[in-house]
Amino acid sequence: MELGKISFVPPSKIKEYLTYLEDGKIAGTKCKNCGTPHFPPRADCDNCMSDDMEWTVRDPKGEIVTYTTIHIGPTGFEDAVPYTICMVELEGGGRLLGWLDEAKEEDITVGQDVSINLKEFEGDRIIYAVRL
Amino acid sequence: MKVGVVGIGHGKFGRREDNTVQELAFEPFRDALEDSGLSKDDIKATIIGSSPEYHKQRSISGVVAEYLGVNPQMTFLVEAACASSSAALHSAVAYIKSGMYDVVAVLGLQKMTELTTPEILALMGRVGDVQWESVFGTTFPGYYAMYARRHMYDYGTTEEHMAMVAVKNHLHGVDNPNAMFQKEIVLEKVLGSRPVASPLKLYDCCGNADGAACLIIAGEEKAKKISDTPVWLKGMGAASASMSVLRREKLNTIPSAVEASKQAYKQAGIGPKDLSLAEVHDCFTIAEIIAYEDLGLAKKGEGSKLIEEGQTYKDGDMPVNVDGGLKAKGHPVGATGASMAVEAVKQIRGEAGKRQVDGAEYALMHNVGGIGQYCFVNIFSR
Repeated sequence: MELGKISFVPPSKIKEYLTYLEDGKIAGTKCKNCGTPHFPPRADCDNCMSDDMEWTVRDPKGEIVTYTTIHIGPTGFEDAVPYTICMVELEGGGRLLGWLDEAKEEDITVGQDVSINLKEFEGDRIIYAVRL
Repeated sequence: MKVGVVGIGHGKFGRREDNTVQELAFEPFRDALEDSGLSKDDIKATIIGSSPEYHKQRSISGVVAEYLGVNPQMTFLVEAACASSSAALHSAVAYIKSGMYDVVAVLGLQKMTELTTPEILALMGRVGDVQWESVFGTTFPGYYAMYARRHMYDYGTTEEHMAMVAVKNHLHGVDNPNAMFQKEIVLEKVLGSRPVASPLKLYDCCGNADGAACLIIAGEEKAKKISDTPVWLKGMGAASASMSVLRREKLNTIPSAVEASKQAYKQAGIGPKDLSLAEVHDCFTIAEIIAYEDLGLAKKGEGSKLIEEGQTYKDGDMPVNVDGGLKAKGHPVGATGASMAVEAVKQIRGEAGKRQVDGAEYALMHNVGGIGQYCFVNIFSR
């Protein structure tokens, strides 16, 4: 399984992230040296330059920072338009982009509480489905 | 050491499918040489600003330098997305200040119509962080739309305010023969245009264009020998911000623009109130409103007031984008920074014709790369 509708780059050093996703969990990393949390996860800490990381499972809740509905989609997304991208700030920090699910753009506002649901998509993909 | 602009050239922006990139580059280069009175043998280096992914020709500086006839002098390409030619100017100034070269040409160029629509759409889907963001179908307008949505929420900015920016810049563009669009538009046309990435509509977006612009710069002594009217780079600022918008603390400001403008004002020894005009990076209408605030032309959150009150029109207190901005000129990515600099120099020289801001003393340019990953702010004066 991979995250999002299409991938542009390999899952990289943090590919364990996908194992968490398959397990229904959203995980970030935390630097074991300086304690800095990283979400989206990083393999290397830009605070203290250590690469000694541990995984921490995040609460799949947060609030909407901003959003937009894409009407002209890029290559690979032509069949998905219109879709509403929400930027969500997770409780405890860190942000992600996901797709608004089971609601319309008119129903949401900045600051609204939402949950992040891991939704299987097109067979081998997982989407962050943002729900009210 | 002071660095002065001694020659400028600006080609026509627009759909120029029939021209190669090197042909586009030749026009402003020749004009800048003529403007400076120099011969091409006087140019010790040609630094090119462009975004390479739009061109079929790989390593574009090679073919451009050959076509300009500047071999064997040094040339290379500088890339900073939509701020590529400002980055080239920044590099060129360092060469002059170091004394390594005494006269350097900066050439911003881009041909965007070489690509087919599917190729453009593929590029559009990779403007952001491709690991965490592009996988959800973000686009360039989509990012600025997210900025717009947040600015609206935080400060009460409206779609009408954004539309007013488009109306103003199109009006200004009427007097710019190098602009892609020389046509006035009305507010209703902007508001009624089709949605691209809500709340942004088609007329909130600048157009892809082909084009090139050129500057020739020299150190103080040399510049005075070359020109009776050198225009000095009084302040230069350059900064960066995270590629990923997820890591931006606030979605209503471009942090690299705030930082770069602070540096430029400090170096120039002036503040925003001393400016006669500003050329700002209005790739989308919301970007101009945010620029007002980031540059200190308006207090944070009050950018919309500036356009609502008409202050940024040519005859207003703080004229912005009197050449039509990206909105009316079109946005040949790599050429845009050089285009802004050329306009700033024209204004300071008093050679801007119908667009001339009376008594222009200080002109600022603000060139943003990508969604603010890069920002360059320069202040020009006599």
